[in-house]
Amino acid sequence: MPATLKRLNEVYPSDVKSTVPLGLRINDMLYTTSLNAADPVTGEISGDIREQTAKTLQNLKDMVEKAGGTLDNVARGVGYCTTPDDRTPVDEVWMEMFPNEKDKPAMKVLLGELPAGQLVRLDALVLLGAKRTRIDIPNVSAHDPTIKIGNWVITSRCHGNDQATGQIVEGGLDAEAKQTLTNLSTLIKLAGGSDSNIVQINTYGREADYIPAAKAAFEVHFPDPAKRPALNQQVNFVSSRMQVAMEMFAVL
Amino acid sequence: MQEIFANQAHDPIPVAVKLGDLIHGARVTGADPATSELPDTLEAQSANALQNMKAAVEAAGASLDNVGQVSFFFKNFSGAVMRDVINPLWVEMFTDEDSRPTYKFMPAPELPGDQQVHVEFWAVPGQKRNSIQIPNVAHTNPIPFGVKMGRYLFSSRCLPMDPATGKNPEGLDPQLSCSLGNASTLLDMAGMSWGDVTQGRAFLTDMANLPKIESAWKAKTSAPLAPVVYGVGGNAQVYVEFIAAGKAG
Repeated sequence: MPATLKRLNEVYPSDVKSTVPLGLRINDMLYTTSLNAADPVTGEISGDIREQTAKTLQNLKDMVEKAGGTLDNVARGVGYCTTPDDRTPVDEVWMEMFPNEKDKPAMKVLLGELPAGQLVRLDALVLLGAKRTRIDIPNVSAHDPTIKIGNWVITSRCHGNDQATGQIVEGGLDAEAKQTLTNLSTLIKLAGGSDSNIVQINTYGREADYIPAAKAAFEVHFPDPAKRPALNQQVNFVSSRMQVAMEMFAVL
Repeated sequence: MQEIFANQAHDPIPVAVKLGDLIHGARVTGADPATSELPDTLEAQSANALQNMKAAVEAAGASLDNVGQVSFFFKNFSGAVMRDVINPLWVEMFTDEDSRPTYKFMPAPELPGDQQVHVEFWAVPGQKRNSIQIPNVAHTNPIPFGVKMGRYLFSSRCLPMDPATGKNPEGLDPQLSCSLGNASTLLDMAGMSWGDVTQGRAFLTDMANLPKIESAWKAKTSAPLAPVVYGVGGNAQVYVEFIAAGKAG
């Protein structure tokens, strides 16, 4: 947190009868906390998953522009939908909004429980005035990128790809968790930082039984308990090609 | 930045976020913390929501002692019901009447699904709550007029009450002057000034009054002022609420 706060405010809906904030603004940072497909005037949510995603992204665009920014300033999106089948349309509409493969925000789509009638929710992190740089490990493909924006480095969900072959390493969960952490370290180095810049790591597995092994790998990778990033371990959708995925948030 | 999850393994949407020296909770619901189910009654949802807030601040490495301001949003807005439901839970959670966070109740018919209540909060880890009361201008509810925590000051909705009489004057102009005057008193008592104010919200009964309110606000501070139309109590036509932040350290 900067020593001087020029801005610290909740961001409210443009409809003066809607009371729940849409997000926060802290200096140049915008953090959305309840973006969905709600019509900005009536508050109504309608449409199928594609329509709701498009409306949600329009609400994001409006909010960013109202704060004086553009979609170029979006650092990270997290989509939430209720069934695995809905992940693809969310991703497709996202790619329509961010069509440039070389310059798009970090992104992931998770499964979550949403209130009745709501098919998608989007949490976004925006750094007004800053632009993204995509960071890649050579040989390792990433559908959703790792980006550097301002002094932040934010990954999408990373996997245990071998840096020589690009393939997920063999050896199951333990090997994948170790390799994924190695890849996060490589990404933060490519961004000009080191492991000590990582402030948060979120891990993902299909079943809760992956948690101890991923935690053990984390503790080996960050041996000093006093210098470990915050760790959140979630059970959520993970592609059948792998056992574990991880993302990080780092501040240079 | 650190995301805070209520039930990491089974609920992927953060309930709160830790941003430097602040925690902001924005998705505290009345869902049962064990099962994620929403109970049917406002009483049960409210009790869960307060427990979920406690769990969120604790997951962020802080405690209820670090909570400064809480906002309750209700799908069905009725002052009496809310006071009867929330206040007993509130005084049970915050037992020391000299050290309570401040809160507000808001109508939110847009709350989705079966949600009857939604809670948001601000907390400042590592800082003790200094609850401030203005002489002769008090809320009837069990909350202070404002809370100073470290470099932050969270106001309640500043009542348009005249400190000389303890009553709301009649009419917009004197009410506006009293509400802003009470905000000034709160800033003074916190050792802060209008230059530290970072956001304001105006609660008004009639949008036609907004230009007058905005112009009085702008005479005090350049911080943004967001309006919300809201049936304020009794003869009141306007309240202002604000957050102020001084320099770190």
